[in-house]
Order: sequence, then C-alpha cells, then structure tokens
Amino acid sequence: MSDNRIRPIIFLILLLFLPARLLAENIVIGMSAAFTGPSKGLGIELYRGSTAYLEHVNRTGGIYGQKIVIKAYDDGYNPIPAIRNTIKLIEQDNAFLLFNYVGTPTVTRILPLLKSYKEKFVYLFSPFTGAEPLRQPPYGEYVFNLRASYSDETEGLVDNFVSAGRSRIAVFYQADAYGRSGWDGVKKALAKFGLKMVGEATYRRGAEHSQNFKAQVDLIRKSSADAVISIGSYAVCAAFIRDARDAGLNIPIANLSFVGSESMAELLLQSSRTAGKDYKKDLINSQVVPSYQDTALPAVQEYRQLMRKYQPLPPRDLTEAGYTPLPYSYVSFEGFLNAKLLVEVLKRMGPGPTKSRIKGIVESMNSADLGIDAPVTFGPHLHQGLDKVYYTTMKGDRFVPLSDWQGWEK
Amino acid sequence: MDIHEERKDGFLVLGLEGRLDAVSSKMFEEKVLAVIDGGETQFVIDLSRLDYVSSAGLRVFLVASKRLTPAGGKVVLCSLQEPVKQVFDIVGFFSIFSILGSKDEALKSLG
Amino acid sequence: MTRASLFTKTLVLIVVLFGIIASGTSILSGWNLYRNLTQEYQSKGVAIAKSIADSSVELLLNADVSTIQSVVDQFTEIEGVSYVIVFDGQGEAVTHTFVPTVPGDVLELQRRTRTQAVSGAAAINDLSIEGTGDFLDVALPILAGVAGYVHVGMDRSLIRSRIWSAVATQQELMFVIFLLSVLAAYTLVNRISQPLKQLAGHAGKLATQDFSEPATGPSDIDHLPQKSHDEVGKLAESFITMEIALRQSVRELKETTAAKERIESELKIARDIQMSMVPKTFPPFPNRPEFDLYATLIPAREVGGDFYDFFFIDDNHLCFAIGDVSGKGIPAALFMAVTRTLFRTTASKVSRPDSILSLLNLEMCQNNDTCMFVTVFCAVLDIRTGEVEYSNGGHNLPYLISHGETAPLKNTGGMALGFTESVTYRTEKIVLRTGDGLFLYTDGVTEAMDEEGNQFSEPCLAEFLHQANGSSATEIIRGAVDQVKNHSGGAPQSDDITALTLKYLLTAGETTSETIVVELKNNLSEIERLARIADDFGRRHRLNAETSHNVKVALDEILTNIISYAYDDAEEHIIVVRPSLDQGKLTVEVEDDGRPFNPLNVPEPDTKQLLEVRPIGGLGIHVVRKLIDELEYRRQNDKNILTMKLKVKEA
Repeated sequence: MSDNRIRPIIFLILLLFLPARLLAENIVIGMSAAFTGPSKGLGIELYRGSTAYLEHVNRTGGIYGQKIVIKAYDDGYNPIPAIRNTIKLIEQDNAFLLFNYVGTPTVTRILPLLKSYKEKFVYLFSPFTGAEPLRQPPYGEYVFNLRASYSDETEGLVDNFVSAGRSRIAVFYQADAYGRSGWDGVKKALAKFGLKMVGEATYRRGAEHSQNFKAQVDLIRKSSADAVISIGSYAVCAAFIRDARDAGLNIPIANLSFVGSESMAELLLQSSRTAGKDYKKDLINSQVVPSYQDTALPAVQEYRQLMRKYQPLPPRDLTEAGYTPLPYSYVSFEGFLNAKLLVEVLKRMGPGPTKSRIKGIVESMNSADLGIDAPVTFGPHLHQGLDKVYYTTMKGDRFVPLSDWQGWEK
Repeated sequence: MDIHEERKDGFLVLGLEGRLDAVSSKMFEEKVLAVIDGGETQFVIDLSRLDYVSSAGLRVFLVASKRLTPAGGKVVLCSLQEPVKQVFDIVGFFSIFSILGSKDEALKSLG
Repeated sequence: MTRASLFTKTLVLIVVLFGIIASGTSILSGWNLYRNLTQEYQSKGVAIAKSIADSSVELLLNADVSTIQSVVDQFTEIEGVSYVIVFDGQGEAVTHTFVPTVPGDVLELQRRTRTQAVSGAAAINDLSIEGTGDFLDVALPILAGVAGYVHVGMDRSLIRSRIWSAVATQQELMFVIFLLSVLAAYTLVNRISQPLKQLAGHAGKLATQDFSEPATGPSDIDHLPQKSHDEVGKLAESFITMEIALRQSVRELKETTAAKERIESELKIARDIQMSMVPKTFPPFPNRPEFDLYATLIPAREVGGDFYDFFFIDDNHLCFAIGDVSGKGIPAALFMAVTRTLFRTTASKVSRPDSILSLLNLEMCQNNDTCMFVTVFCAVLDIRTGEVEYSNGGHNLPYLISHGETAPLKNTGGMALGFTESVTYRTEKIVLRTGDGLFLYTDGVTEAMDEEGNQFSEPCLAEFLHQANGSSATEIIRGAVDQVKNHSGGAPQSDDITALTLKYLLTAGETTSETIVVELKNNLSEIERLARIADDFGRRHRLNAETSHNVKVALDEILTNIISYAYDDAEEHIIVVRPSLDQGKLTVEVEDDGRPFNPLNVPEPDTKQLLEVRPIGGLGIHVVRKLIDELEYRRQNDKNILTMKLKVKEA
C-alpha cells in the first residue's frame, strides 16, 4: 500500500476511538425544504440567511465550543419527500432538532411524525409557514414558530382593505392546506365585519409561471370584487397578477409573506419588460419580518453586514443550476432571524444541551429581543413568537414598506 | 325438264332441256311469266336441248307471246330439234313466232 | 387456385370465429369489468368518504379547515379520486380540491343530499360535470350531517380507461393468437393444398397428354402417396394407378385400331378387286340390239363371294352366268376370283353349259383345300333363234318373264361346284320370244332382311317381276334393287345383292309382232313411264325415231286430255294402253272409263290466225290428227276407246 492511502485509514481508525463526546462537536440541525422547483427561492434564501448568522456564531466560539451545522435535504415543496427527509434526519443524521422547513403542505404532513417521535423529543423550529395546524393542538406542541401566522396576515389585510372601503374581497388561493389556511383566515377576518367572500378561485400547487390563469381571473372578475387576496407561491401569484392586469382587472392584489417578494418582483419585472405593460402597480405584500432596509433596527444592520461578509451560498449538491442568490431578501432575513432565535435557545440551554430540555427553555422565553423592535414571547400554549405583520408595496423594481393605504381608498 | 338461264349480249337466254309436257309446262309457265313481270321485254328461248314438246307446252309459248306483244316485247325461239319443229309446224307456230336456227342469230335479231 | 380458395375459406372462418370470440369476450369482460370496477370504486369512495368523515368530525367542529384540507389532500393522491369536498353543518363548502372553483353541479348535489333523510349510509350518485367529466359522487354525512357532509368524487373515466385498456390488452392477445392461428392455418392448409394443387396441375396436364406414348419419366405426383399419409395421398395413388391403366388401355386400343384399320384397308382393296372382276359397262354390247342386258352387284359391308359374268363365245352365242361363293369375307372373294377366271377359261374351251360346269367343277375340286364351294348358274343364248341352253349348279333358278307370266326355270339338278368331282350336270333348253326376259339373282336378293328379320322372299320377288312386265332390263334390275332396299329399311345389308337381267328383243332382220298391255293410273307422271315403255318397244322392234316420237307425242296429248278432263271425281282410274305391232303396222289402243268424249269432234283450229286472236286450247288434238295416220273412236262398255294406227318405217 502507498503512503497516500495509509493516512486516511489511520485517521479513520483514530476517529473510531475518539470519545463520543468529541464526535458530537457539532450540533446538527435538520432542514428539509424546497431547494428545487417553483418554490426553490424560499428554501435557498432561508438557508442562506440562516447560514450567514450561524457562520458568524460558529466562528466566534460556537455554542459553548460546539458548532451548529445545518444538514439540509431537498423536498421540492412536496410532502412525501419531506416525510422521507424528516425520517432520515431523525434516524440517520441524529438531528438535534428540525429547522427552517418550508411550506404548509410539507410541514403539516410531517407533524404526525413529530408526534410519533415524541419519545425522542423531536421539535421543529421556525418553519416557513403561517398555517394554523402548526400552532394548534394536537401538533402545535411539537413546533415552535417565530413568524406571525397567516391568520394574522390575512386579518391585517382584510382590516386594511375594509377600512379603505374595499369590502368586496375575493380570494385566489392554492388548492391545498396552505391556500385553505389563507382562505380560512380571510373568511374569519371578514366574518368579524359580518362580511363574506364575494368570490374565490383556486389553482393547483406546482403550477408554473408560464401557465395562464385566465379562468381564475374570470371567476374573480365576475364576482365584482374590489380587492383580491392571493394565497399562493410567488411564481403563480406573479402570473396571476399578469393575467389579471391583461384582462383589465386593475383592483389591488395582496399577497402573503410566503411569496418571496424579491422573486416575485423579479418575475413581474420580466413580464413587464416582455409585454410592455406595467404589472407592478397596486400590489400589496404582507410580511412577517421587518424590511431589511430598515437600518434603524440592529438586526437589520447585523444582517446586512453578515450577508455581505459571508456571501452565503445555497447548498451545492441540493440546488439546481441557474439560481442567482439575492443580496438581501425578506426570506433570507427571516432565515437570519430564525437562526438568531435558535442560537438564543441553545445558549439558554447551557453547555451540553439535551433535547428533552428544549421545550422548557423555549416556553420560558419571554420578551426576548432579536433586534427587530418586537419582543419574542413563547409559552406553554403559545408556540408563536411574533405576531406583528408588516406591509410592503412595489415601487420601482422592488417591494418597499407601505404605511399608507390611502392610495386604494374607494 | 330443266330450265337454264344465261345472259348473253345483254339479253336473257332461257334454255329448255328435256321434255316439255303437261307436267313440266306448269313450271315453264311460272318461269316465263316471272321473267316477263321482272321486266324482260326481249329474250331468247333456246330449244336445242328440248327433246319433246306437247300441246300443253305449246300453250305456254302462246301465253308468253300474248303477254309480251302489247308491251312491245319480243321473244325469239332458236335451235329447234326436228320432232319439236314438226309439232310447231303442225300447229302453225312458225307464222306467229320468230324461230331462228342458232342462238347467235336469235341474239342478233334482238336489240 | 386451390390454395387461395381453401386458404381463403379457412381464413374467413378464422376471421369470423375470432371476430365472434373477440367481440364476445370484449363485451363480456368489458361489462364485467365495468360492473366490478364500479363496485370497487363505490366501495373505495365510500371507504375514503368514511375515513375523511371520521377524521374530520373534530376538525369540523373546531373549524380547523386547513387541517381538514391536509387530510383531504392526501386522499386526492389515491388513484381514481377526482375531488373531495367537505361541507360544514351550515352547508357551506369549507374544504375542497377543485380548481378553479367548485362546480355548480356539486353544490346542487349537496343541496339535494342535505334535504334527504339522513341515514348512516353513503349516498352514491352519478354526477356529470360539464367540461370536466363523469364522476361517481359518494356523499357521506359527518356526524349525521350536524358536523357537515363529505363528497368524494371518483373519476368514472378511470373506469372507462381501465376497461378500455383491459379490453385492448385482451384484444391484443386475441390478435396475436389470431395471427398465430392464421399462420398455423396457412401452414396446415398449405400442407393439404400443395399436394392438391400438384394433383390438380397434373390432372390438368392429363388432358393434353398422349397416352399412346409411354410415360416420359416419373410422374410429378409419384412422391405424393409417400409424402402425404392422408386422403390426399390416397387420391394421388388412385391418380397414378388410373394413369397407368389408362396408358395401358390406350396402347391396346391403338394397337387394336391399327390392326382394324389394316384389315379395313385390305377389305376395301378386296372389295375393289371383287368389283373389278365383274363387267360394269352398260349397255355392254351396244351394237347388238337383239338383247337388252343389265346387271348389278351391290356388295355387302363385308366382302362377299357373288359374281356375274357375260361374254360372247362367238358372234351368235352369248354366255352369261351368275354365282355365289359360300361364306363371306376375303376367302370368299378370293375363291370367287378364282371361280370367275376359271369360268372364263373353261367357257372358252367348251360351249355347252353342262360341260362348262363339269369342267369348272373338276378344276375347282382340284385346287380346293379349303373345301369351299360355289353355286353357279350358267347359260348360253343363241341370238339368232332366241334359244337358251342352261345348266345350274346349286344356284337359285332364275325367273323367266314371258308375256306377263313369271316363273322360275326348271332345275337341272346339278350340285354346287367344288364339292366333289363326281357330279353330273345336265343342260336344259328354252326358247325366248321377243320381249321375254330372264332374271338371274343371288340369295342376297331374296334373303335380304328388314329390321325384324323378315326376308324379302321369293314370292315378293316374283310379284315384283310380274309387275315389271314391259320394263327394260335396267328398269327391272333397278326396280328389284329398290324393292329390296325398301324392304330392308334401316337394316344393314348382310349379303351381296347381285342380279342380272337379259331381255330378248328381236332377232336380227325380223320384225316380229308384239302386243303389250300397259296399265296407267290417271296421273300426269304416268305419261313419262308410258314414254319409256314406248321407247323400249320401239327399240325392240327397231322402229325409227320419228315413228317413236310421233307415237309418244300423240299418246302424250291423248293421255293429258284424258287425265285432265275425263274424270269428274278425285278417284284413281286406270287407263289401258295397248300398243300392237303387226306386219309393219303399229296400232295403239287407249281405253279409259271417263266421261264420254270423242276427240274427233273437236274442231280444227285455224292455224293461220294471228297470235292475238289464237285461242290457247285445242292444239293437242290437232297435233294428234296431224301425226297419226288413222284415228278411230268408239264408246264401248262405258269406256272411251281411241284407236291410233301408224305405218311403221324401219330404222
């Protein structure tokens, strides 16, 4: 045998005899998200935002000497791969906890898994979804959400629309649990005013931006709505906006935080350029994290600095070619904040963290400060840290914070 | 009796062969009348091969002649054998009929 | 082509069969599948609906629609599930999987379902959504309808496509089997039809084959009996056997035919020889008007042994004979040839008939190994006197026709020649008078048979000869032959018909008297017969042509008149004509039983009249008057008797 071959073999033998404790140098956190497909932007940006902060933490001593490592798998925004990935993370990769999952249909499907792994104390942190099942019994106890829920978002949008005199609200939503949550949110919010939805139209999850949604646009237009709340993925929502405007439907269209605003803006710009029309008007996107342009917030500063510094990349073996990472995005900012929460939790656990203590630690968090001028509070029956909703609209090439709804007053 | 027909020099020549008696005269009469009705106004009856004639046969010649003459027609007899000549002579036909010695003479006398 | 039609038939059968099987099975299985799948679907739908209903109770009550949605979404991944829709207790759709929206038909169905009485069972309805398809809607109440309803829509088109694909697979299989069957059929039929085709081809060629030739090499179907151990092989075997037999038969036939042809040609030659041995030129002696001789030999199919002969021994003696060799065929013909030759040579040596026969007999006995014999009648006529000396050797005696009487000659007692040398022949003598005739014949005349086997017989012959009084020799012979032929009818001629007639006319230099009686029927055609008799009479008595002619003309006119005008009825009447020659005067008497009519009373026509005024009739009597020397008429016994007299001039 040659010298080159002997070294790795010796290293491996040594590794085997190292104390188990030394091996567990890293805290492995498992992530299954959409790194491919129409919603790949979400998984990628979330990942980037988180790794920017974690990189910083790891480089500055880690958590009591332990590094935090994200073990990521791609589920393409589909439930079955999400389930498989989750099992793998728990059984094979020995993930300490699950983190940064993307999407309602995926997350709601792995919830029963969390319950079945009850003995193992598997918890899911800050999934990128505002759906209710994650926040309610029977599965809510296994999930710790940071972001405000869709109900919060839709309630906010409805309130604002109604205030602006637009009470004929129609819903364009994804035909699955995600869309249903949003739809339900709007319905409940309208019920508060004694109102009902005037129209609705669905689309199938996985539809492409290139498809046309004329049928849905028609349905909504027939309902004589004066505002539309869209609960969908950024690709479809952008297409819907395009088709609506093409059909002469110029009422304000609102989207939830789930749409990656930057990704949506990108598509709208392209369409505008191609068709020679302006598809960027009368759009409102609600967000669950503050704008990354609000540099008054310390977290924003930190975020911008670390993003610039580390220029995090999407996981090499997971992403398809042809994705241009965004310098800043709402999604990566959320990922950044998710990582901050996580680190805070781990820090509070002290050295040698154990899974069984996670629940207690998190539920005892009261008004923790992540630097966004919004306290993060958890409780035994409160597994959602934030409840603030922010509003943005498109100006120029991007979404900017919106404070004034006067523009849409009837 | 047999009746032969030939055309010579543009005229019809009827040749009688055998016996012209009561039996054969009927046939002869039919033939001659047919010839006359058919438009022949001048023709020759050649008797060179006629062996015998009876009064019944003579009758036919008379009938024929009587039919022809009003229309300006003419029938010439030729080459009579001796016994036949004798009978013709007895009944005085030589004065009524043109009877010549040979066929050529008969034909020449016509036209 | 056998193959095409046999194969086509089989193919058609297979196609029809498979067609029936295919359609039958597809219909059957399609129907079965449809029923089963529908049932499966229904139960599936019901199960899904139940599952959703059960898991949705709490959720509905808690209004946790997005979880219900997750639950429902899972079920839509099941094959066959087209949609799921959950209604809450108020009848509002809270969860569904429709894109872009819930169809009105479904809402309508829910409304109807709600109004129905609630049972625990699922309500199954066929739902047809325009533009989307046909579904099986399974509706289940959740918590007896209080919590709401769930509708699970099963895609009917799935059933259909399943059925189609199943049927299609089945048909594909059928088709493959069909093709294989066709192939198998083709092979099998070919196996049968190939040899059949060969047989047929061979049979076709048979017709053009020349079976007289030996087979040119092995037959092209020789291999079939070994190759095909079935009916085809048997057929081929039969063919081959038949062919061999045929060839054999044809060959034999050819040989037989060749032999027969050879015999036939030899027979023909023999007949020619036979015919050339009898004199055939008539009249044989035109310069001898003293007698009228005619003979005929009509050979039978098979060559026979008849002969006749006549020749002058010297200027005044005519030898004539007739003979019949025993048996038929070439031996008889040869024997006849010998006999005839010997006869001539013998007659040149001796002149008395008995001597001729004796000598002839001796000669023939000498050279007769085959024991054949010949019957001969031999006679010699002295022309000057009319004396006939004759001798008979076993032959049928000729008939003597004399003045209306007909009788056979007296036998001389001699036996057929060639038997034995010790036979005595005698001579008899008769004298022929003018007009007498001798009729010589062989038994071919009298023994000629009709189809029933009845012979012509001697009495018939005698009868005929009696009637033939006055006819010439030629007429008698021809008449006799006609009679025989009439009698035979269609029966084939079994023996030679041979006859010779000799009529004695005047002796040289003398004009003898003769009276003949001729009976005529009142028929114009009889006139010609009378003319012939007149000719004959004239010939006999050597009357000159002019006399003969005048008599004939006169008789023609008289008889024409009688036949045409004498009778009032359509009956047959007899007119009697009696010519009589006596010492240079010819008298002809004509007697008829018609109306009284005296031709002498007919006025003379004016022959000087011009053509135009000449009457057509009356010429006949005029001619008669002019030609006949004396005319007498008398009426006697109710009969008209006209007598004509002429002086005769010698020729």
